[in-house]
Amino acid sequence: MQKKTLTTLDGTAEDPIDEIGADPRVGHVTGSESQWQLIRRRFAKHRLAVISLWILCFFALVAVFADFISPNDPNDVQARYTYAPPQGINFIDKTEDGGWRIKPYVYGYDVEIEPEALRRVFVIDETDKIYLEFFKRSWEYNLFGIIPTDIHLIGTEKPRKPLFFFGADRLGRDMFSRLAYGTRISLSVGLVGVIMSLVLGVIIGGFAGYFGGFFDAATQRVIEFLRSLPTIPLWMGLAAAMPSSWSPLQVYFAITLILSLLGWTELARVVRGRFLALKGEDYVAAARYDGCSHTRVILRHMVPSFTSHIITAASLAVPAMILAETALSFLGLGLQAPVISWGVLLQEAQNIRTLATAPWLLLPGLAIVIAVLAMNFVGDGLRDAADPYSH
Amino acid sequence: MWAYIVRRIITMILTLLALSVVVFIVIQLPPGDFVTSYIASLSASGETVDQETIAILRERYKLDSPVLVQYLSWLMQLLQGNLGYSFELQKSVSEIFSQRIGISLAVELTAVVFMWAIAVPIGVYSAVNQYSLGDYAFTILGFLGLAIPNFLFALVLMYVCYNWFGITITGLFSTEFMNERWSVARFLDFASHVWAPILVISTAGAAQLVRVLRANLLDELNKPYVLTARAKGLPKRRVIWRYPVRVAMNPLISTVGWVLPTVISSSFVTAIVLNLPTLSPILLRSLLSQDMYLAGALILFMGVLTLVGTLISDLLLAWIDPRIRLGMVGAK
Amino acid sequence: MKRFGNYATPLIAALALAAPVAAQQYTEAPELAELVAAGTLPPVEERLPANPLVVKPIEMVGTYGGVWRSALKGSFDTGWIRRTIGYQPLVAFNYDWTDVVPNVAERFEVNDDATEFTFYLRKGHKWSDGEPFTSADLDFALKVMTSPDYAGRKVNIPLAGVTGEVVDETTFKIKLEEPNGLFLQRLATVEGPFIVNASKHYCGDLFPETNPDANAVAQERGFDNWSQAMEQSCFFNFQDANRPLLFAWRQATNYDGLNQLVEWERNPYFFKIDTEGQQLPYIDDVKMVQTESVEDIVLKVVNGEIDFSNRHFATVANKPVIFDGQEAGGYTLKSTVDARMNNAILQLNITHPDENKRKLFGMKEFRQALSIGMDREEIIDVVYAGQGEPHQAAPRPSSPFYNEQLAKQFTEYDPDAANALLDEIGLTEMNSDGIRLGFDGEPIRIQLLASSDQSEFGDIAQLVTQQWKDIGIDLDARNAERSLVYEQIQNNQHDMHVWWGDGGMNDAMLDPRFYMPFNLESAFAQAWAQHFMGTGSSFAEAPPTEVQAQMDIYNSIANTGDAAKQKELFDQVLQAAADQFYVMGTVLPADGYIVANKNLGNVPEGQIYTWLYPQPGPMQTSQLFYKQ
Repeated sequence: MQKKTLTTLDGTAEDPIDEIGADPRVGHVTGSESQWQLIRRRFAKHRLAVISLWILCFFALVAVFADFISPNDPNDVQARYTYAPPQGINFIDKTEDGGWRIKPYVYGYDVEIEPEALRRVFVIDETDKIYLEFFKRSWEYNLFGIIPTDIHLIGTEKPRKPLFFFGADRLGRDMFSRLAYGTRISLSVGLVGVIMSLVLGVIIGGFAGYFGGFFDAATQRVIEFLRSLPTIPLWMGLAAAMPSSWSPLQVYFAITLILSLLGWTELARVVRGRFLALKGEDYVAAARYDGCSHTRVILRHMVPSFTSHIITAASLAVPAMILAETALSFLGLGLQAPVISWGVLLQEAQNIRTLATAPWLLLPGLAIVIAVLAMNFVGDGLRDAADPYSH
Repeated sequence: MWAYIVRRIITMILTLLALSVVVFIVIQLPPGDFVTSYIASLSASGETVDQETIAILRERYKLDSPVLVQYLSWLMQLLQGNLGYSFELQKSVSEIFSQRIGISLAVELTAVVFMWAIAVPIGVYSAVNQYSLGDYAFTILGFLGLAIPNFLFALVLMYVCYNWFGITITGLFSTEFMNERWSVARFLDFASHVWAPILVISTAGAAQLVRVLRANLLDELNKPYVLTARAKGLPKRRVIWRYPVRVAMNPLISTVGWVLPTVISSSFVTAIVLNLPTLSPILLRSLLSQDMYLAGALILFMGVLTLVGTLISDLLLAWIDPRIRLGMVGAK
Repeated sequence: MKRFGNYATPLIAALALAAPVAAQQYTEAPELAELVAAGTLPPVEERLPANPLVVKPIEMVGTYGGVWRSALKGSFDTGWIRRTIGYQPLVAFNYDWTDVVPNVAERFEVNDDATEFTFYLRKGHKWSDGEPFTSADLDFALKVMTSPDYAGRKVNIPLAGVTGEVVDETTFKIKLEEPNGLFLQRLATVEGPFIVNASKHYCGDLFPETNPDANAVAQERGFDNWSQAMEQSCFFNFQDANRPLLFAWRQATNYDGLNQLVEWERNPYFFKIDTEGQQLPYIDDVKMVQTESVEDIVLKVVNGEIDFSNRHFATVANKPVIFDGQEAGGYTLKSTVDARMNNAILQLNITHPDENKRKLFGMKEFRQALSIGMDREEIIDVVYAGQGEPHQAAPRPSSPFYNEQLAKQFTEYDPDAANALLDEIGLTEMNSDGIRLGFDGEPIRIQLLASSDQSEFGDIAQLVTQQWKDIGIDLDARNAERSLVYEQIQNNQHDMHVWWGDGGMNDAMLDPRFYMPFNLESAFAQAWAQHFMGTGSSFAEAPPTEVQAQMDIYNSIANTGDAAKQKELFDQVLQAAADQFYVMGTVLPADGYIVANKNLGNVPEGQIYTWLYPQPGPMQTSQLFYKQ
């Protein structure tokens, strides 16, 4: 597929990439570089995008290895530690004989209940050092969903000791683990949603642009109509209509599908526009005269020429999906506990009590901000790199 | 041109009709009806309702008739200019509208103005100084508003204002001005509250404007005429603001019709968190309580705004670009 | 409650003595005195009835002035108005909730078989617009509520066969076809004031019997028909600020869901005075801000914008914030005694339409196993910060109806015994996830929709889900919009329902919804409850004989006016509930709290908190005042 793309593109003198080559700020570009090399080089110019890409890679790793890096089961309730504040990690340990060594540890808590204020008060107990070790065995899970194991990246030296890097929530569940799991769900909602919109958008937009005529006009009307629907009430209606007997997985896919209803029209519009522009190109006509079928012309000759556009449009749609998921959760209509997503976590934290006494429960908000910013910058970087004239 | 406008208006009416069907279906989709939600909220405060009352209420609101009949009678009402009746507020929808629409539009239009005030300088600066530290800093700033979920921003703002300044920023008026008539004092009180929702709503929409403006301006700055002007020794600032910025803003202005509906949609959640006396909390409440005629009228209203916005955008585009006006009718 | 017991007795004494204050001693608020001087208002002696009710202050005699601020949530929150301003019934509960005492009525008599109730009104008593209040007004209200043509919401007091008789201007008789020993108590509940809330001279225009053009008037006032107008503006809601009332404050703005602020101002015709002859209320105005979110109310509380309230925000979760805010917000916290007997009651649907589920849920051993498979101490620790104790659905220990078996059986956490019990009833097969298979061979999955605006329910459900995993039961708990939850229950489609437990004190007998299938809130046996209510619903079903026997005992309570006999019969009802073990309770609520401005005087400490006794109403809110 990739190889094919290159040959096709090299053959087109009209390709906009060549025009960018004339841009004095881009630097020397020799004709021998492939489109992807060009994009990569240009992308590297956008430093914010590069940093963002690394951040996203980090998020992706967290998502894939969420269970491995979580020291606690994210649904495990520890009654003694409701609203426990985050523990700071210490690396240098003073030994009893006055020396020191590098051995990470956290301090335990002294827990007291204030009966009048109805809360637990946590005081750091400096006599209780909880040492940390790598690759410890604790709770069981399936790595990648298939390999059963109980090894975790970090664990306490002695079992059953509190370990809350990011504090605990109102039920005494570990925020660090919950955040990791939330990353997995939220990122995948964005990705799956975008893939769904992509499939719809490319197929419908492609056909509309390629064939034109009645099909195009009809598609245009449908898109226009869908875009005139106010999104939030629409989502609310659809989300509220989901049968309560559905399993969390079904709900997850249904919510994603609802969200992608928003995305596909935009993608279809972009794709249609590109098709309209490319239809008149000589190489497309040539392929047709050569006896290629419509499908072949579309998939083999036209789609590859604007893959980069699709990728950028899609990459910009992911953060919108993630934000939409949190908005739905805020209204109490998105994903529901026991599923853990950033939106669910934030929905649980959106009260004055949390803001006043447990601000660490807002960390999912920070995760959302960073992820959305990073995706936007990567998207912008990609677009700048792929084709700055496509606005 | 006139034929084009007429055609567009006809499609618009058809779209509206389709919209009314979809809206009605969406409202009917969730299980239960207004009476259920009414009973549920009564029992939350400890009250109980007997079977007889339930039957009476269903009968009164004609909730027992088939959906199609309900839809058609709603449509007939709408065609007669009657927006229907709100079960929950026991008022005609038009009365609710007239009470809230002014303040809603005031907040939303101010937010639009602010959005542009934030976005244009950032967009221009970051295009002119592409890949500079300032570009990165301002872009991050501009995008921050987009990246923070509105409800979170509003909530944190609410708490910060209480905790650090000892003020509650919810609502649009202090208690003493709530039921008063407009006066200078009331306006000042309004101004001291309205900044918060405007900040939240406008920052959320600014990023998109920044992005488009920056990209358009980048294109423009590479054009030979800019280079020529610069080469001739015109001051950079003058060159940029006189031509490229204007040209780059053209496509933006043509999409101005889209802005208001977008802002209304994004202000929805903000208005709820900040307890604004606008239409949004009423829409949310009516959706949750299945107050269907009120919800239907409000959603339809949003749909109409969007359609009119699209029409304005398209007309502006056609007006700017004769190719569209003459050739590819209806294609954007 | 004990701490204030000493105040209630003098209060009743003061009521009984009647009019010890000579007319010339009456004084009034300065702004009313000004109006009197200007000639726009009659003097206080003419505004007060001949025999005003004397309120003995909780703490001290107060002074006039100030505003009482609180918050309303959404447009259905009439409950707060009915609790605070609106509790001016004909006869009222005393502060301790041990007796029914006169209020609007000067005194009352009941005949021996509880079929005839005579009420003597106060001579010269006036509505808030200055029109005389007479027995004709009571007669009117009763006529509307019992009229077969009235198609609106009805009060939750059985009124079938109830007729009124106007003896003279201040004497009114209510006659019942069948004896009802609970009728007087019902008139004292929060539902009771209906009979003195509709003035004939104002609402009469909306009633076809008194005005043939009633529908036209209703349409003029913006309603569809007279029933609806009557319901909305005369009985239930506060949509119409013009309507005359007997409350301490009269309404100045409509509570219509659009006005952001509902204002009330002093009623110059209010019928109560303090021990020094000052006309009540002390506080000038009452302002209720309407908001959509509880968080907004919390913020208003900590910012000192709420003077006296516990409505919506006074939860365990919010306590730390509100506790910390006392100094900065200028308020203090007073305790309330929660009269509810449970924070959350899990009700399996015993009359489930699905045969297999009905068989399973109907087994007492199954419910017993689930109950001892629940770790209530963990729930208390996590959700209630260690406050409260394990408790089934049963009257509170301080209630006269306390039944230890009903309260404490099956509350000891014992997963092993639970497992053994489940094995014993034949649920021995398990699937690969360790979930037991039901009688139909399918894994036992119980779905629970918890109302999402009660976050504690969701938390409890998550804990119970984990705990029941250990006994091989899959609880599928989710949050859902409240109306969705009710939709399910109305159609009897639910597996399980969770709600808090009202009926922990004296209200147990008036509303025994968790002790027997009684009303629509008895979600554990909708079909039997429908049968009990005689609604003719399509899924109403005759219950088994033991349950029917329990219902019969309950019905016989009404036939006696003798309190001791009533208690004896109701104890039998509760014993039957203990033997049946219909529902699973969790935690007995600990004391609650109420926020009070630190300058506010006559604020009760330890008042009972519940709905039928609409706290704070019975404390006489008109005596609240601001200390100088």
